[in-house]
Amino acid sequence: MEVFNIKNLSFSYPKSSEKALDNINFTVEQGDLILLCGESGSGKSTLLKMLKPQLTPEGNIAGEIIFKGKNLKELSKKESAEKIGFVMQNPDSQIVTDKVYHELSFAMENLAYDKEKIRLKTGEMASFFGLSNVFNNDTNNLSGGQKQLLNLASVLTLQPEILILDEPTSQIDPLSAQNFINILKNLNRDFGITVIISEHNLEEVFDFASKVIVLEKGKVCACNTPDKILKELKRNNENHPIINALPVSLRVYNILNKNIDDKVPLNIKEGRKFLQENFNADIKKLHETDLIDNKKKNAVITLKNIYFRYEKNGSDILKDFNLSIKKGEIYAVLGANGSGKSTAVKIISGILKAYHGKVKIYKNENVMYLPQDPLTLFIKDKIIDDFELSDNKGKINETSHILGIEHLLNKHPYDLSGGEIQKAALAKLLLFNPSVLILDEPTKGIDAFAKDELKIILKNLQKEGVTIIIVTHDTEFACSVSDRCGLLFNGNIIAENSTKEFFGGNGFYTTSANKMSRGFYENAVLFEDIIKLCNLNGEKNAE
Amino acid sequence: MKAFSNFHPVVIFIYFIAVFSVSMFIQNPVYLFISMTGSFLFLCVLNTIKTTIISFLKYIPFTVLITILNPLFSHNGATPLFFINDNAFTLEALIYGSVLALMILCVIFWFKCFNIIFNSEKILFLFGKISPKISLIFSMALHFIPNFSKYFNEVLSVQKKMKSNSKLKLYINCFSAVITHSFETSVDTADSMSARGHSTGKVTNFGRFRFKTNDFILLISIITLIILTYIAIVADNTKVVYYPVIIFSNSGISAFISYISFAVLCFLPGIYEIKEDLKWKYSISKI
Amino acid sequence: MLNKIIRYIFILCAVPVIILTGSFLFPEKSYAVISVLLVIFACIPFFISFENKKTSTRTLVIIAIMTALSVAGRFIFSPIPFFKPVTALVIITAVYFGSEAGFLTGALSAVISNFYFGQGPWTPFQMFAWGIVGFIAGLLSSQILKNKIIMILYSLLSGVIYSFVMDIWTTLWSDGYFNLTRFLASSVTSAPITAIYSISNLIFLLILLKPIGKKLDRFKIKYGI
Repeated sequence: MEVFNIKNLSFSYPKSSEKALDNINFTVEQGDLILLCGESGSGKSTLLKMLKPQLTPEGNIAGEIIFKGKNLKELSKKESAEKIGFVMQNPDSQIVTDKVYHELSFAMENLAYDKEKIRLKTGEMASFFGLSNVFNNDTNNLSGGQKQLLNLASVLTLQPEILILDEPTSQIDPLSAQNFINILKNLNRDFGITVIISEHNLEEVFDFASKVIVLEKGKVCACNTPDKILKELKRNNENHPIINALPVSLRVYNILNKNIDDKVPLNIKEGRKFLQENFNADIKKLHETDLIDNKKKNAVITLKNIYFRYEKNGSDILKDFNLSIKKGEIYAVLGANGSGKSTAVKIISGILKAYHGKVKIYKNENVMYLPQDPLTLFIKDKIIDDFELSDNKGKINETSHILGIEHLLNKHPYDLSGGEIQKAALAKLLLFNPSVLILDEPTKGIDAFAKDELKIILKNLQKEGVTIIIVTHDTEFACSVSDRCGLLFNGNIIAENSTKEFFGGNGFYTTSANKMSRGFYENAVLFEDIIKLCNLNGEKNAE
Repeated sequence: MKAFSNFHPVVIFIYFIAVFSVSMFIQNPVYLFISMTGSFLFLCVLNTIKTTIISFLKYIPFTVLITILNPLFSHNGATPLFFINDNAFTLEALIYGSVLALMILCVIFWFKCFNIIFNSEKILFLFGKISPKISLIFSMALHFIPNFSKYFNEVLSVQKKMKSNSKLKLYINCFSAVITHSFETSVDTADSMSARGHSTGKVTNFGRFRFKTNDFILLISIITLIILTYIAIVADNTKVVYYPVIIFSNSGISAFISYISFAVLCFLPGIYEIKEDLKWKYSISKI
Repeated sequence: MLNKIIRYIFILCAVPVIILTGSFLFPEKSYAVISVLLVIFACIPFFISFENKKTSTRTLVIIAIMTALSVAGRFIFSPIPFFKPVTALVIITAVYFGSEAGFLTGALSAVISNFYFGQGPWTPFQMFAWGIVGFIAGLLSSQILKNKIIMILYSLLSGVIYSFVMDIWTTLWSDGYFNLTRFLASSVTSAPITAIYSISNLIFLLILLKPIGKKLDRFKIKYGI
């Protein structure tokens, strides 16, 4: 049975001649899990909001949206609130009330459910989502992952027939994201709830989707099952940018496979099989040519025996923490949530003070810090106004040009996309001529394209002699950009090595490419490494 | 600990109203003394004995001040002690001042207990039924406040490193950033409310508090005690007149019953807490 | 409309009249309690009229935000003595969202901030004082926006209104009745602080009124309210 039937849907925002959505057609069957992907600004959010009457933005709408045989406009307010659930991107801003149980009951209160039912449902949801032990707590004290689960749970109390999720995991850490996606899969598989989800990180959901829809500039440029989507994309454009955002198994397949009709490996397991069946593994390891001899370089920052805690009677966040950063390197600090990564760099940048230990920053080094929320760098209503606050006004044009943000200068900081604001924030810091840059979670909430851009920018800065420290959850990004990595656990760095060795050696804390190729090749941590090794080794049975 | 706060908010609220109605209205030192000791005991159980005594000592200068100030402003009373600029400093006014000071101290101490027992969640529950819209705003504000303070501190810590401004200017700039941030994220909040059916019509008010047998027993006890207390008050059997001369009427058994009832009322929460505490220790010791 | 005005005048006048005449006629009784009750009752009509008025979800959120900002402002500006944005934010809410919203923001800011700073019998007075400052600002909203002199005068006056209500409270609280001498004494002693508060109100209002208006406009255009 069809849940949604979207016919010739077009939309444009008021006072805008451009179409945000252009002649969109697709259907959603009951029990489907639809994955919506596309670059930032391709119209994903707008499309999803069109499917929920309460969120439909102002503007010119053409075409029809049929929900279960009825035009969506004809649904009563109550029906559309109940039957179509919607979860947004930002875990914080969706929460309305101060207590967890109140948040869970909020939707049911609005629709005047009776109290016994509310009591039952809130309890049920709290148990299912593992929120029982925080049931009476303040919503503010939840972690990002818990907040997003709470948002999902609160929507589910109304027992919607369809769940729409707009990049629900982009603002939470990978482990929580995985947990969130698993719950979603479970809801879809065991409870038959239809799901439409848009995502940046396709690794986790891709193979589970019943249908993948790719949007490009407001148009559907491909719509197919996961195993056929690559073929369809390539038919339109051999080097379609979205291909770089696909799971690593598909990207490897895309480059190496000559016969497009073979079975497509949709996940890491299938990718591994694909490698084993098709390629030799005589050469296990790439010849390391680009290992920089770090030992000879001078340190610019050293931290010795650092101890830090937030509250007098709290426990130590950093315990005997030691770190030494060399001139001109890119160093990535990795670690789980709450391991103290952000705390450590805040101490380096002077925002926090350690109660014991020594932070030494070598003279003439100007350390600048880009916080997790880049918006905190902007206090004016225009990007340019904030830039002009710096001492180095003459550099504004040049810097904006290098980072490619000239067209954004007159915009409001909150109108920029995740990738754009990250670049603008970086530009603002560059106006202060930093010699050491610290970036806290720079890839949070930005898509694959923006990540690539950021990588190039950072590499160029490195060439100019800037030392860069990155704190990140994003193993792929750390792997592709950094020279050295350190793993923080329980308040100090427990493993530190050059990036290749670091990821190649780690068991679980590693990249998808390494997961896929392990046991077959050694230290192939990047997608490019696999390609190189495969090409070196050659195909099996290549007579 | 704080077993008393587990009662139903309505019952707790009625309890405080009952105690306040006597402690604030009735200028009879016996009631006030009972009330004071009751609140002192309750606060000792809620906090520690040490902190309670310290906070009591802190108020001594204040009570002395009120006691002395009253005869300076009020020159009623038949027994002048001395004159200042032809104005009498009377014994009655001095005594009235001390009663007033005791009353103020009582109210302060009961409010200290009230602040610990009656948190925002209970207030919300109480008024949610009467005014769903306002109580929602209340709840949202409680959720926003720590968020905004946190965001402010983040902005401040980053902006401090940018450029040196005057402190006031820096704070106002950062506060303005918080305002922008709050407005921008409010769109999501409003959307998430609409998406979950806000303002579609009738609403229910759900609170996690349930009215239990214990609540009923406490409610009946409070009502009985306060009625017994008020019988003598209404009949003027416990009336105290301060001006021009002090008349202390303490007639008969009804006054005695009234004092006893009020004492039971005031000591109820403190004793209840101690009882629950002992019960807990006893059950632990059995394990 | 006339009805509404009469109701407002009644509420505005009734309270001080009842307190003052009551205190003069029966000087030896405890008026602190009566006044507390009176103030609580005085707040009710404002709450009812807000509750019955239709408010969009987005306006509701903004009022909650303004309340939260004014409470958070008390914490945020704690390192800078006397400079608190509460009154200014209450006035701004009233100017852009009407009298009822202004009263509500003021009253709620008082109750909620006292969860952090301590509730007491003064809470109803603070609610009323900030509420009424907001309420009047709502009535004068177009003048405050258009005429800078009125804005300056009102922001200075708001400090006086607030301390007037609170001085009545101090007098009743410490004397048990309305002792004019003490009222004048406490007004005089609090005058310097009142002056500083009035000036801080003015500064905050000058800095925040127009930018918040701009931010709200942006909000309205972007999201089509």
